[in-house]
Amino acid sequence: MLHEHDGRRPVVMAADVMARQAGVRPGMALAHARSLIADLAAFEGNWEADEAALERLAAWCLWLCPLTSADPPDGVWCDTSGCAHLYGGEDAMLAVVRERLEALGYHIRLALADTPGAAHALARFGRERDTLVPSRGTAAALDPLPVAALRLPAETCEGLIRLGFTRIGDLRRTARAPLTRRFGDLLMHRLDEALGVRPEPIRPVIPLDAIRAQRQMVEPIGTAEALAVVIGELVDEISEILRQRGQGARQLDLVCERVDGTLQPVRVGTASPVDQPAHLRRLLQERIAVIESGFGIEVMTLTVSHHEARQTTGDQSVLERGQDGSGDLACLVDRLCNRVGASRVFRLTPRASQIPERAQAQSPVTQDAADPTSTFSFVRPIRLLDPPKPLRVEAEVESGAPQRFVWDGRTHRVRGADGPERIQGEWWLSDSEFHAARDYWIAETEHGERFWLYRQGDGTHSWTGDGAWFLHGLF
Amino acid sequence: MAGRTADTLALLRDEIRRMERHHAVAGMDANLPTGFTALDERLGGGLSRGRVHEFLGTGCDRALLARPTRFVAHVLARIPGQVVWLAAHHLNLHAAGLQGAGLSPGRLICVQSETRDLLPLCEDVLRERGVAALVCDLCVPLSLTASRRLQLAAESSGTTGFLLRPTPNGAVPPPSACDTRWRIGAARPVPLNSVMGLEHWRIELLRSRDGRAFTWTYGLPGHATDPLDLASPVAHGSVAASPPAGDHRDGACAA
Repeated sequence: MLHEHDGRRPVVMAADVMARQAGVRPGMALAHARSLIADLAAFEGNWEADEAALERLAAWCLWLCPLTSADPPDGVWCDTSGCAHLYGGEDAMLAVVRERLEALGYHIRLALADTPGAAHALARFGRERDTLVPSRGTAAALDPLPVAALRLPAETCEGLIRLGFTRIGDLRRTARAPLTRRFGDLLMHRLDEALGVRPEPIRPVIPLDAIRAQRQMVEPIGTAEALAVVIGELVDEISEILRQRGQGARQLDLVCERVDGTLQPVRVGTASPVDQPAHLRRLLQERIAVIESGFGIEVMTLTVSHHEARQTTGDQSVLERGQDGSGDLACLVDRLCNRVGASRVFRLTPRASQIPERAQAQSPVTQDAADPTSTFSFVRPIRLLDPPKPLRVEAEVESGAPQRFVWDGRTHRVRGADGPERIQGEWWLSDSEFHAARDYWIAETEHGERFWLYRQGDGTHSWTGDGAWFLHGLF
Repeated sequence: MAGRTADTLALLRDEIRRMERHHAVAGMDANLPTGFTALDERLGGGLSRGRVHEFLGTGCDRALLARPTRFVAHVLARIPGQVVWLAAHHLNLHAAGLQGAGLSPGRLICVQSETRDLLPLCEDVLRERGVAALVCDLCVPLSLTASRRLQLAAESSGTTGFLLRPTPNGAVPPPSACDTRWRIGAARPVPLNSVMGLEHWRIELLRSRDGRAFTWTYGLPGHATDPLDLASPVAHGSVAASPPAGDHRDGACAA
């Protein structure tokens, strides 16, 4: 529990979960709290230190997105526009944020919404621990929240509740003018900011040691060509600094400040440290389409938010070696990663497993393409049905080979079958696979099509599988 | 002096080629051999480089496209360089199967994109000179304009595009500006005994630039004994030269 002095007496400033269960509330006199809990651990609070810590936390959040800002007393804003796909979608991004912040020991509530105001409200007053508001669903999400969620002074909230406006939805549906006359401009400003009618710029944290370049335009620019020219200049400046320091950029943030004061962030990442201006320029120019220039852009800032030392000697990455004229393959891979997300650009690498669907892994493209030394002794289809599709086998011959089966609404007669190839379950992975077995058959139908079928179980012992048939691929 | 004139002429020729958008093709072979001799002869050396080719499946393979994929993998196995494999769904390629078809999985850069980004990404990769080919599991309809764009992108860079088009309802998609359209599937095995012997392929050229359709039937050595390696002369030479009896034959015109 933390306490502070309000001028007359020490009062409770914040309390942890256990103290709150015992009835300690912020704003309560310290003496009262001590009477509730005999061995209360009370420390003097320090707002300045808290704010400084919050600023540091906001700067720490820069790994997530280019624009972060402290939202005192207890919040951090992150403008994640155009970043979610890098983590595999918004759900996945929230999960990553939660995991990392909880690892630091914070108790957090997360909200992702179209506007800072709405996110602020939902993080504090939303029903769920993590709220994800779909695009254009802001109004619906805000309606059931209390008016206090709008960051209003306490007296305004009290006044509204006395008039019967308890929810944000009530405010949204009533006439604006009388409320403005009574409570001042702030009320409607806050409402509009939360709904996104009125832009609310956030003041981003700037890391101290960052490599950055900035251009202030004499006249606002808006066309793709003009943006490309400015990006080119910024990149030249940055890559010069990078080269002097022997560093390469791993992540770049381009922030465009519009005439109306809002900021448009763009983030690009690279697979390996890069200081080539052509490479960086290409990555950024690809993202011009996502910049909404509105009435024009006044200031553009390019920041290297993550950089690493470049390997200047020794063997370079396989992608840079340039096999048969593929010199800019690294650039292509980076561009693909920035467009679809790094986890969705991969190589297939063999993995030691007998189970066909586990016999390969997805590995990042930066890795040197391993020579497939493993020799596949059995023939495998080029594509697998994932998951295997159940299939009805109507007749089997004595050896267990399928003779007639139904697939795709048609009965197929087997004219030749090859098998069985028995694959045992990987008992070291889980108990359920301890006895499991599959019998694979290659069955050729009268039409010459070759099916890759398997039966669960060895056909005699029920504990090896239930004898159901599946189609796993075609040859 | 004469040498310098020749140099100038060569330079000018090069310039003209560049204007005609064939500069990338100029330095390399203009064709990608498929490995099937009769087929390569008919095509004048193989599939054109720097063009887009589309492949359909038949029968039960209409949606999964196993045989068209193997065909494409065989073609790619014969050229060097990196290959970008693009899919809008979960990519269901199997590394062991690719290896069996002769294509090393280490040469593939696999990309899974959103459905709406698929065609723009295709075009972007086709413009890239650093890769040898693009293969796309095309699950979206392809308009004539879109296919023309892909074709132009491929011509500008010399990268060859292979579009694998599932046709779940069996209907042949509307015409496109692609260089060739193929339908690859199984052929009815002729000797009807119950032994798995040759694997029978029916390769149909549905459309090509000169407008003539062709059908070939090939018997390939059984997979169980031989990983289907078309590079070995036995695989297509002897078999294709003495194909099993039947009515549609090597190079039989089906137009």
